[in-house]
Amino acid sequence: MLHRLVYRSRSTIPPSEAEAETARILARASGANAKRGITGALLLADGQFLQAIEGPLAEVEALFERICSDLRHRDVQLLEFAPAEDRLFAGWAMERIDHEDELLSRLPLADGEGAPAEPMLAPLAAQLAAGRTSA
Amino acid sequence: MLAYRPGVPVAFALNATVGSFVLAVLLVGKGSLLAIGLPGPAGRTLGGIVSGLAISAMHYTGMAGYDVPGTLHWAPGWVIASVGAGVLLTILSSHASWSRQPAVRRLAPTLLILGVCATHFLGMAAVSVTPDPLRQIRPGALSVETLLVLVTNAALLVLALGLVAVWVSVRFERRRRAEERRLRDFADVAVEGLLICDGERIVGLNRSLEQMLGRRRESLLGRSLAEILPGIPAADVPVGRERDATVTDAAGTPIPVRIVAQDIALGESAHRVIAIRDQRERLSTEAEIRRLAHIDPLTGLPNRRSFAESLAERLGPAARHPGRLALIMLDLDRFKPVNDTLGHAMGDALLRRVAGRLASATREGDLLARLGGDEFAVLADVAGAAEAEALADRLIEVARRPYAIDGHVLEIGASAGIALAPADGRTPDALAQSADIALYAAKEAGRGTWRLFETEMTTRRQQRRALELDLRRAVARAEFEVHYQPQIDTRTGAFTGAEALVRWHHAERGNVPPSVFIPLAEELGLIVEIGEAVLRTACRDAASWPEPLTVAVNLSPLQLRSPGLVDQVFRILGETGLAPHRLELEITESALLQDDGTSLAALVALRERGIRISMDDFGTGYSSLSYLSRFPFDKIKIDQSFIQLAPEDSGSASIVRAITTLGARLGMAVTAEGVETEAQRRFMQQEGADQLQGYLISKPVTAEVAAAMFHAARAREAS
Ligand SMILES: Cc1cc2nc3c(=O)[nH]c(=O)nc-3n(C[C@H](O)[C@H](O)[C@H](O)COP(=O)(O)O)c2cc1C
Repeated sequence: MLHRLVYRSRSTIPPSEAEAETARILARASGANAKRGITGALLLADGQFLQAIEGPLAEVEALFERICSDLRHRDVQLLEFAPAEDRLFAGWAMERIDHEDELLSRLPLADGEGAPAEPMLAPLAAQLAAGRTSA
Repeated sequence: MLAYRPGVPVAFALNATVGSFVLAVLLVGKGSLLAIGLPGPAGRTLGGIVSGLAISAMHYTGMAGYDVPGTLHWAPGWVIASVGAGVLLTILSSHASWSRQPAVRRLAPTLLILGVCATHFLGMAAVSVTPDPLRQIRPGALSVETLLVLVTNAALLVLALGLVAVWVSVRFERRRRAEERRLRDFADVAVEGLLICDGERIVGLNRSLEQMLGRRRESLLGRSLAEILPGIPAADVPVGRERDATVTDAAGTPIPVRIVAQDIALGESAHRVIAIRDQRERLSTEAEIRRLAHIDPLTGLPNRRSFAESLAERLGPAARHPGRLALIMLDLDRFKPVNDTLGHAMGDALLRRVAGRLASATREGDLLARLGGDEFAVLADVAGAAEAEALADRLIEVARRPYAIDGHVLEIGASAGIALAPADGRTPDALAQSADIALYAAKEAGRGTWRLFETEMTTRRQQRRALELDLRRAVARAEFEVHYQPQIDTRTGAFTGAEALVRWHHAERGNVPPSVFIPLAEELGLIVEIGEAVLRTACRDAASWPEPLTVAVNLSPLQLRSPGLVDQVFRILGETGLAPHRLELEITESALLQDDGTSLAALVALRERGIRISMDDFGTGYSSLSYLSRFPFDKIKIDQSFIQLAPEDSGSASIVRAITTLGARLGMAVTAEGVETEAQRRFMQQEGADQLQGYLISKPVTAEVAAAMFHAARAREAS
């Protein structure tokens, strides 16, 4: 069953190395993800990661567990974890995006059927709002 | 040699004749012995040659004793033919007698007889006699007839002897071979490796040893023992008691073994049999058993026992640490509810994930162990406290990240206590105790954090222990008193009732504030008993107050969850004679936060029978509004922290305003607690609070004073 997981975290990578390290993570991730039927998107902005992962439940959980064992970030906050109708990032083993909107606009935020996801997405929306005002 | 009778009278010289006979016996015997003593075709050939020559020797020495009145002439061609044919035939006979085929073996005596005959007749053909009447037959010579008998007998005896010798040796050889084969078969079924040594030379080994060493028997026979058992001469292998050793296999890999020797006689020389028992399986089984005894099967981490051993080792006299040793004790927060509500399988899956994450947060050389349940520990060499703190921080951080398991999201936390050796403990027990105390302090500080051990923690812990003891004693002796803080109607200023407040006066400690002992009583579960006593006292006291004054009693979360609560309340009301509508039970938001449904059900049952329920300390919790919608409270008590800042603090003022509006909308009365100034009273009145409580109205008073106040007020109203 296809599941989607969205989380946010704070990078612990020194800012000067953040770009190169993120590129490395992505390079490794795209190969590994393609093998496991995972697609998704990753954003690094203002020292924060925002990532969406979608794929078979077991694979999504296994990858999230690996990511949660990774010391290159901290304060991992789960924003969404629910069954998904179809992939939002089909064709991308792990797409690098530059703006939150690119990810958030694709999520079914106002979707009535995604009821359990809604409360979890509220902080995300709030963060988005905060991000916009601070930017 | 007697086969030929020349046409002259003949006789044999006695000495030469007997000599020829003895020589023949000796030589044929020697020939047979050679064939037996020297195994193989060479021996047989040699034996045949000797026997053949012996026959010739007998013939020609015999002929030397041939006494004729004439001269003997020898034809060399015939002599050579006679000796050659004899030798050839006895060689054939000798080979035939060792043959594997019985038919061939049966030919052997015939061939030997043919050999004798050939030598004899060809030898006689070689001789011719020229009569010489001058020669006389010497006296004492045997007559030809006598000699004929003697020589024939002797030849047959020689033949018989040779045949017997051959037969015995064949039988003997066959038995020896069978025995050898039986011995080897026997050795080959043995599980142990067996090795036979002649001195340092390997002369035999069994199949087990071939397999153990990965070498063929042939490649080892005749080699030196040192080649497979380096450093231990055969003589040093103990007899009757095993010793550890190492053998080397074909690839040069050492194999741990136990060896024991036994001396046996093989043939005429003493040999040493060495039994070699492969220890690899036993050692690996032992290692596996030791490993299993030291790991936690669920997570694969070292277990408590293994951890204790490592700790002792690293604190022991042999340990040399340039820096310090940090012991971090880690407990999971909120793990039990996961286990209780989602089941053990989920709890186990979670523990495995936690173990994995903690492992990723440790450094090379750190030892992570699961001590049991949701307790983990890390042992780490650190340069100083900061390093240990950073490690504890990482451990807590990874443990706190969300877990996605089977479609569920689980959120737990972790608390950690750090102790550093040698400062916080030199022995394993002392260090572990310090870490435990620090862990306890971290939990007291609200969990989800770490604490470094401090000596004061021990003092504080001891003080707490003492307080705990005193509190238990106080509960047993019912040392608690109930005081009452009156409440008034905001509009009329008339008393509406009072809140019951528990007081503990300790002989030495004096008055112990509820903020100190109530949380402890909650933690120890003593609150249920204390709460019941307070409820009974309050109801009894209030029953004497004028109607319809009410008494408000606090219910702790633990009381609210205890299954007998509703019955208990009505039993007490029955005992004391207080009407249900005069009792008000106050609960906090946190009591509902941990609710699994039973608390709410109890509240519904109490309210249905006329008891009023109020929400205490409103505004301090998390999801206030959702609780208000879930249960129809009769009253909301605004937390005094807002009252005390109002009306000057605009934030507090607006919260107060929001709560009174909310109360009005939901049809719930609103009480302001902690009203201390006239300004606060006016503000509350203006904002529409229904009741006031606080020092401005009255401080908490004893039951007698409260009763007196209420009766006096009633008397005034009446007059
Ligand atoms: C922000 C962030 C995002 C990551 N995304 C992925 C990903 O999409 N796929 C992936 O395989 N690894 C990802 N990783 C790396 C994993 O945490 C982990 O290092 C990787 O799966 C290799 O794990 P392994 O060494 O146990 O195989 C990410 C790491 C970080 C810090």
